[in-house]
Amino acid sequence: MREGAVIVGIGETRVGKHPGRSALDLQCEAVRRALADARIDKARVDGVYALGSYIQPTQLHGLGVVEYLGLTPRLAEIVDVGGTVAFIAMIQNAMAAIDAGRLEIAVCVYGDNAATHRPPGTHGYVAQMTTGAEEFEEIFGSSIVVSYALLARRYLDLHGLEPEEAFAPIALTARRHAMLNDNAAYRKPITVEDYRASPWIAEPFRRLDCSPVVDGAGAFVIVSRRVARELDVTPVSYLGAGSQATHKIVSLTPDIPELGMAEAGRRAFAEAGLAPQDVDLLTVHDGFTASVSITVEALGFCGAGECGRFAAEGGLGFDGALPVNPHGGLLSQGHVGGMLHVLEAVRQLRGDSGPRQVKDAEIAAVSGNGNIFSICGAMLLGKGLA
Amino acid sequence: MTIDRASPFWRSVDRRAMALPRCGACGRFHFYPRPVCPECWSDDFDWRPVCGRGTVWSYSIVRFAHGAHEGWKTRIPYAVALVELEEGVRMMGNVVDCPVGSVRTGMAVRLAYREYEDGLIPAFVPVD
Repeated sequence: MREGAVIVGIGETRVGKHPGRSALDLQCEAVRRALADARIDKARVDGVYALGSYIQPTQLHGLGVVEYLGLTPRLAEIVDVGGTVAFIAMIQNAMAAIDAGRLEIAVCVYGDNAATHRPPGTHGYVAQMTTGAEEFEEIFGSSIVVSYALLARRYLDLHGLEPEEAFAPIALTARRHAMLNDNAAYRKPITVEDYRASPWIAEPFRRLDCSPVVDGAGAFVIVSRRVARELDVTPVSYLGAGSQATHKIVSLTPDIPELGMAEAGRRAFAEAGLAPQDVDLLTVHDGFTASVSITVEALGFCGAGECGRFAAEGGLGFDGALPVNPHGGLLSQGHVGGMLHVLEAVRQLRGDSGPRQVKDAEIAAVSGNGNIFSICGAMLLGKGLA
Repeated sequence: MTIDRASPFWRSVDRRAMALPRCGACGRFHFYPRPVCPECWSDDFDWRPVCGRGTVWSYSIVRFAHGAHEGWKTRIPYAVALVELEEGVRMMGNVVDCPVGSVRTGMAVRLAYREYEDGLIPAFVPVD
């Protein structure tokens, strides 16, 4: 039997604004919290999987984490895969290293200070990075928001839907959840009327369809089954995962039904020996409301074009048929790259999510996409030692 | 952002005769231009002017230029579309010379050119 990967500790900073604090500083706080949660001494950490800041990028970021925290791991690896898929890849990489006997205790971390440290006049996560195809997209006034808006319009037109019916219920569900999370940045109640009154950014997206960036960081600790058994914590086990890359820029995207998410989901469910009906909750990289629709449908949780209606009926609520992002997600907790989606899945499986706890949660799915559904990933986690 | 005005693509745009690389080995066009054909990896290209006919695959009306390249902030609202060209490739471009609210998926457009501070860039106009 393989040694597998078991998540035994999670830690997150406050989300919001942290003026004067670097992304590395925020990440180190998250790592300290995660190791404290696992009750593991820092001297025992033998692997670091990190993704550095997109806003203030530094070379060899992993070694920065090592040096700031006085760690002595065997390796410190950068995992830059895109969106939540990066954190799924961290888990898979750590698991492979554990299975190969190369390490036993790894920390995985990401955080950024996109709210307070972006250079003036810049937005989002690509402030100082380039995508490599600017002269064929940005020159037309495009951006990350416009790229997703193009995919969202395609989705609406494929199914003959309006944003008020397809997307508003998703924004409202995220806000309802954030109101139950004291570490969420956007907790003021919103109604369908608020959604309609929300200003257009890039049609079909209004402001409330878009996730606001915040400063913050999250980290988790992965160990071998052997180490997990000696700890006094509720373990959460990796059960399976899959991913699929198809393109980079939106101009070259496959059509919605051919995006990589369905294949990623099939691989994850096959490895875990599970089916969508076995899943008690799902966290989805929700940079935009449409991301949730496309992901939930591609993973087989509802039919194509039906996610909005499902959400309007309460289906995505923490007390619904398929709880989605009970922590409020990027849409209402705030955008920390999707790292906190992994942490919420673990927290729910431990039964530690307080007023938003999903009843009897035993299997969680974590999913995400990087760039513009350019790479898609899905992962299944289970309560206890698998 | 740097536009490589010396590249075959941008030189063709500057001549108002946009050309795309057509693979000499497999016959497929590709966009955006890459060093080898992404289908068959041949680097034997024949740059062919496109016919200019296309169909809107999707579009967005930008009303707040969040994160857009600087010059666009003064041009809102503007329409960004993904257009399928008859040559079998999809590319981004602005739909111009029509009210932004009239742009629709499936709409027939033809290639045009617009001059901005970065120089001439491709655009699309509705076919009557």
